[in-house]
Amino acid sequence: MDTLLYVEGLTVSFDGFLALRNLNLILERWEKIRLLIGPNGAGKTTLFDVLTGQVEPVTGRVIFEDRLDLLGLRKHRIATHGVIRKFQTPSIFPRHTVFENMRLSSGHKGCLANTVSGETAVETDRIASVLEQVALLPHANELAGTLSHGQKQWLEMAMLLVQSPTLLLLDEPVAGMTRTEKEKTAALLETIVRRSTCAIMLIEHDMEFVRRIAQGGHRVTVLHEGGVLSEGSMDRVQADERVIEAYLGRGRVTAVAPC
Amino acid sequence: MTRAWSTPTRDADLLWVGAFGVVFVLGLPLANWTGFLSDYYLNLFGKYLALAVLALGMDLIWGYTGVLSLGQAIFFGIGAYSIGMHMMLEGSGKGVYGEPVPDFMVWNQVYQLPLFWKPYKYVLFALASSVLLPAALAALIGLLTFRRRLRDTYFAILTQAIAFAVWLMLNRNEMRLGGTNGLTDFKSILGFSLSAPATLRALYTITALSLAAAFLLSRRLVRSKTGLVLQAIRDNERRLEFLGYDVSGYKILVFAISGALAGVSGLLYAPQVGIITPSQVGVLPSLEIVIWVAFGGRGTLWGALLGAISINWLRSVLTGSYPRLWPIILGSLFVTVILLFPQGLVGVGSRLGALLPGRAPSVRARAVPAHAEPPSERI
Repeated sequence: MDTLLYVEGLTVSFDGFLALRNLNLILERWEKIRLLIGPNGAGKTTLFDVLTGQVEPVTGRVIFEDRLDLLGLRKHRIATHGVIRKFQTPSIFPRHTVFENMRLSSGHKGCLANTVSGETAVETDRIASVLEQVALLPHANELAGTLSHGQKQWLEMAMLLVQSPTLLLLDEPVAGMTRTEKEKTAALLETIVRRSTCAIMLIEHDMEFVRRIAQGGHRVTVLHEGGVLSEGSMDRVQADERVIEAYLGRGRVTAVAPC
Repeated sequence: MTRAWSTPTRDADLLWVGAFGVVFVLGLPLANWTGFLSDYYLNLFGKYLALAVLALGMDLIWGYTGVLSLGQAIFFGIGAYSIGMHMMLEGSGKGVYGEPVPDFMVWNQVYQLPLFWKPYKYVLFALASSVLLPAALAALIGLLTFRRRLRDTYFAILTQAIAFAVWLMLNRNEMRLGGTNGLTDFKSILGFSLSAPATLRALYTITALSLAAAFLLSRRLVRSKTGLVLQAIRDNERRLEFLGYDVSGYKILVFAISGALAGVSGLLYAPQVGIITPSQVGVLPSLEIVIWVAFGGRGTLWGALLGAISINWLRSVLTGSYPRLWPIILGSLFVTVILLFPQGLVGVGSRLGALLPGRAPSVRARAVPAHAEPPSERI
């Protein structure tokens, strides 16, 4: 019972284009954060799509918590099993209030129970405490659509957290954020990791942010052309010749025309 | 701040429910009783209120959930035909021919009651059939479409096709449902003569009470967590699935409820109007319901009520004087509302209300614990 996520031989084909080629990835339970980096089209988001049931792979196995086969499960079943995803763009319900967004995320998901029973004090308290974590409690009654971009991103994070996820999949959580917002988000992730048992898998292009997170000793996986190019600590990955070639580049020398 | 799909959540609208009750449940019958309102007009309003129940169902599935059903008239038809069959049987033997079957069957040389008509002798069966049958049919259609993730556009087309098919079938005499003439010439209901003003007054009151009950139930539904989910389906269905919701279950539920409401509407309509024909079950009447709700303001419940009553009243007034112009008027009304007042009558009303001095824009008060004072930025 040590492996949280076991991905074996995953191949995804979009009309012949292989978005994932025989991808293998193991996430151990003790790992709190796994960073996924790689150039555009490396298959990072496609991997998330497979894990959350949006894309069906041609071959491969995905085993969650050593027992549950995620492939073939419907999207909402995967979510109720604790694999929760955050999208690249903030995906909130703009015409619901912040509080209503949180209510949608927490508690029962079945239609019969939700028609009959009302909200409970326990649920309300829990929502309030999570909103407090992301500093959105003062905005609880505002329409989510009126929040700033950063606040929307945090609201979505709060919506994920209130579900007590086992595995959180974050797709570029700091995209479009200001420097202070990024710093706050990094702090938030650290709080999550410290306070809960949830593991995080994180896609990010912002190398500064990746380095910031990786300081906590978290492992980095580099994807390239649908497969794993390199894996290990940030230092190891950064030193890897193939990674430099494919993704990180050699610093100053890129794209300078000879004069 | 104007919002396209505001949810009525303030309790102030209970005041309106009360006002509605006073005017329609007590006021009109009283006015009729004391001679201020003729039987004819009371009956007419009874019809409008019955149709308002139909609009409520449409608002739930379309206004709140964003799924356009173009087949609501089928469910209405099932309700109306169910009670119609019962009333036909109540009057059989008293017809022109004195046969034990409804008169129209005699014209078609049918002298024995078809098997499927027999249970409609029992009023309880007829009532159940007019409410539960449409709900079950809606659930079945929902099961076959929503579970298969049929896109909403195709759902609209499919329901329209079903409405057309039902209309075609009902028009055939072989269906033993009166063909193009439908069911009419009802004599009595539960032994009360339909030509007696007292019966019509009672039917009116039952209709007004049913509408109030349907409104309160719908209001409860849209204010429950399910209501939040329905509106979330309308706004971003895909996101909801990743939150762990089986969206199809919710769609099936709300479609079944809207079907049941349409059935209730038909059940209330047929005895008061005295006729139900296939022309009220097909594609056009289904589309018209959409116009009522859009005109009144979708996603507000009140809008559905307002739209159904006002357009049907307009129709009564205008078809009297300009019968040929009515479809054109209705069409241009629809286009005008969609283009200029996307929030319908209710939207216009609330915008006017906001202009009044001293009225702060309504903020939805929600249960956030009072002790949870906003902390300063913590993360």
